[in-house]
Amino acid sequence: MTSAISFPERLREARAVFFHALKKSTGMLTLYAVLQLLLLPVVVTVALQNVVSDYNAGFAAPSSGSLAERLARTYSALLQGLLPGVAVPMALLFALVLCVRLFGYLQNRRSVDLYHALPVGRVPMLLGRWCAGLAALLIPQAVGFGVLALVACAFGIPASGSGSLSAGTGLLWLLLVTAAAFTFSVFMEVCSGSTMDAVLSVLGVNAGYPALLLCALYLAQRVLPGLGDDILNPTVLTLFAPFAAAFLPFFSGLGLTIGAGFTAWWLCFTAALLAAACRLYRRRGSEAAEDHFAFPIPKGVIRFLLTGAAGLGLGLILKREGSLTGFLVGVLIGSLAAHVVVEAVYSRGFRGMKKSLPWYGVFLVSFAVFYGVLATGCFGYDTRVPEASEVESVAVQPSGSRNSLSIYADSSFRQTIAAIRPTLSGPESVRAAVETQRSIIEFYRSEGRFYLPRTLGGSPVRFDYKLKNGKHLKRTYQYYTQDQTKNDAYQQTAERLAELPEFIQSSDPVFYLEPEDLKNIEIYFPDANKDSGSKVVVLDSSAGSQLFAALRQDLLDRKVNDFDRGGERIALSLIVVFKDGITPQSDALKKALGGYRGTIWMQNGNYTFFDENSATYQLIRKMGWYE
Amino acid sequence: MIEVKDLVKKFGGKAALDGMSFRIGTGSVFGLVGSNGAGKSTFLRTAAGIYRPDGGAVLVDGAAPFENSRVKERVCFISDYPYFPPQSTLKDMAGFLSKLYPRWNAEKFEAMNKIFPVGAEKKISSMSKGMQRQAALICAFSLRPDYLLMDEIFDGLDPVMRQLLKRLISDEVAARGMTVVIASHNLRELEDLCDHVGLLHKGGVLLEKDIDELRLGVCKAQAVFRPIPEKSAFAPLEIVKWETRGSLVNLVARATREELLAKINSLHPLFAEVLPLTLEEVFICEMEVVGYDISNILS
Repeated sequence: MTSAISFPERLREARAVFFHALKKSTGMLTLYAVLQLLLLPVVVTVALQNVVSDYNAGFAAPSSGSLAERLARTYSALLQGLLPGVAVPMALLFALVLCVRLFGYLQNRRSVDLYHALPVGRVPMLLGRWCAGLAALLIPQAVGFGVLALVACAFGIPASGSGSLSAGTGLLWLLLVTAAAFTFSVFMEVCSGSTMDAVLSVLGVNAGYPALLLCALYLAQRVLPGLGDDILNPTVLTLFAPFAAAFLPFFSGLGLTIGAGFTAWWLCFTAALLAAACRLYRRRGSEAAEDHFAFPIPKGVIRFLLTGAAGLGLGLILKREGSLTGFLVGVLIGSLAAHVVVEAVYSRGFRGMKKSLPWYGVFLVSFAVFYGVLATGCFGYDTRVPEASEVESVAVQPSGSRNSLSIYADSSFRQTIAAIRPTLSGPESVRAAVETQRSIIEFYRSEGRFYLPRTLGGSPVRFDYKLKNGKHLKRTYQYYTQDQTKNDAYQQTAERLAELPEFIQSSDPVFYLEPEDLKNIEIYFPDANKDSGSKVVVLDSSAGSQLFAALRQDLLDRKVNDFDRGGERIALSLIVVFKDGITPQSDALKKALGGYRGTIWMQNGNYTFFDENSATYQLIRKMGWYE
Repeated sequence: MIEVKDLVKKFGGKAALDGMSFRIGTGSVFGLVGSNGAGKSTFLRTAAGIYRPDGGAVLVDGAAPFENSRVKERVCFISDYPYFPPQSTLKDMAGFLSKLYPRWNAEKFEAMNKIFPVGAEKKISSMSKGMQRQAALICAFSLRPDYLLMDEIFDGLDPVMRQLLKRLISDEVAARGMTVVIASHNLRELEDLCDHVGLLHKGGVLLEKDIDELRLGVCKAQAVFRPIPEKSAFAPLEIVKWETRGSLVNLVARATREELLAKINSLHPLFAEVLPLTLEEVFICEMEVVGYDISNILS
């Protein structure tokens, strides 16, 4: 008799398992569907109806827009709240519960006797149940969002939703992340020998992976000069943690992180997990049921993740400026405690503790290598400064300056088209940037050649070199020392680049916009007799040109926002309000926008003057705009 | 036929089956006996394709059952404590199993439900242990398997059900040539049902024989002599067991009933009779011959 089972036979087996598992999951499916309907469409319907009732009763302020606008706004706000607050947590919870229900049989010797004696291959068994679980999760979600779309339609809200978030996008993301979380849980069920271990493993990886990465990056940033917080990419932080990644788009706006790459990663990761689960299930011994682990990989990984996260976390808490002792003691105590706890939980006691100690040694060696590399400058990372001749341009953020000037696609200021970073490209400016970076590095090097974990001080100084060979070199510094004289000297160095005319010209909207883009200005003068006074003035083209010229002059003369003179009396505060839907005109702006051809929105410019001799102050007095 | 060749199954570093080899013929009722931990359940699970062997092979009609649906369609395993999915009824199980086992027979299912009236629409989890075993038997017989593997199946069944089960098994074996393997630690349960018995001990087979062959080859007798003859007087018969109490001699000899009676009569006893041997007594004798203390093995 041949043992080769044909694909149609395996398909028949999977189908039989699927329908049986789906039938057994009907209760959960129904419960989930009811909760979906109650917590999404019903809540949204009641909230939207309240908006209509308030509008009809005249309770809403006229400034809050038409009924349609209010409904769209409320709908969007509800989605922003309900998706991360209700839909995602519920999906993750049901994914875990359904996984335990459908794959818990693997952890029970009696049930394994039944299911593994059936004439069903391991792979059809797993895939049939996986499909049933997905169906029980995704059908209620699709129904919930379908009804939600109908509700939106009934209230006349556009199907695409409002702003960057729509029910459709939310549903697609929810479906994807639910599939990923469910498959991840299935993978852990296959690897584990008990349901408790499986659930702990799911939670362990989803908490341990981001925590370890966060601690490692946090430490690296505090040890290695030049390493910035821009490497703390939330996508990377949750790359192997679907339960954590599920919330990402809702924290930074769907339009930003739910890109094609992110979606593709979760599709591929889910597929890879499923393939790995099938492969491991074929190798899994039935006798693994009620044992500790069918495959030891997750246990080792989770132990390492949690040991590392706890060690680095406690080390960072106990660190002391200029000393390594507190940090190392923290690392040792934290990591050892985590190792013992994880081992005791997974091994149900301390019997395997001695055997597990070599794995603790692996962590210690890994930590020593990691810290050693950071503390010695990461193979020259700390002192790498390009020659000025190698640099095409450099985007800089001197200490105390804003990183970029954002340009938006709509009046809600949610969808960013471009973020213009102050950039230096003139030879003198580039040379100044290179010299400034070298000077900053000297501050670090003056404290020793073996870096210690330090406190980050003040606002960051950033350099992003675009080299002539097409490569980029990025560095971020936040130097701090307890020596105040040295700190002051550093601060002067860190702010030096902000004085360069090229920096000023590339960092303020008045150098990118034209006077006709001006909507109005709001002038605030301190009044000796009253607390303050203000006035909104709409300027004609000629007056606008004069104001722009005066503002540009004052900016270049560094007479604006010079808060170092904050002890002195403020002479004038000015808010420059730009028009809605500006058509870009200047070459600098068009270049910054790349291929974008639509209208743009820019946030108001805020200017504070301490000097009554500034051109803007004098102009406003002369024109009598405040009188 | 189930052919077991140097079968090894290890749990951790410990071998539960340690190079086991024997054959179970088609249409036979094979009893697997042995103490706890002897390897009976492990063998049944390996033969049912639940466990993957670590060495050697168990072949069902020439094919290994592990991950082999075609073999598993013809094999049914009832574990010592049968499992049913939560909230399942017999009707649910029938619906599920009928999709997987091509030989599922709905009429047989109906008939079995009448024989074991546990309730086809009652939740199995709410049934007693004995009723759950009956439910498992209903499913098993409805599958019409070629090989029925049962682990401690008589536990929890009342004497009436035991006899009923034995009759059903015998009928299936006679009608369809079904092969039955029953694991038990109780030899007495098996002796009127099995035609072959294998004695497992520490993962190996100590003895595997046809029961009739076993019984026919060994006889027990008691006789009164005055004076008692020497044991050597029974030569050439092989005396397996010899006990005297006053003038009474109890002996077990490797001989037919007629041979033993003729020999005793030739020694002029005051009284003599040949008694039937239980399977357990046969085993005790056989095992003592090969140097094992059976009371330790079957305890």
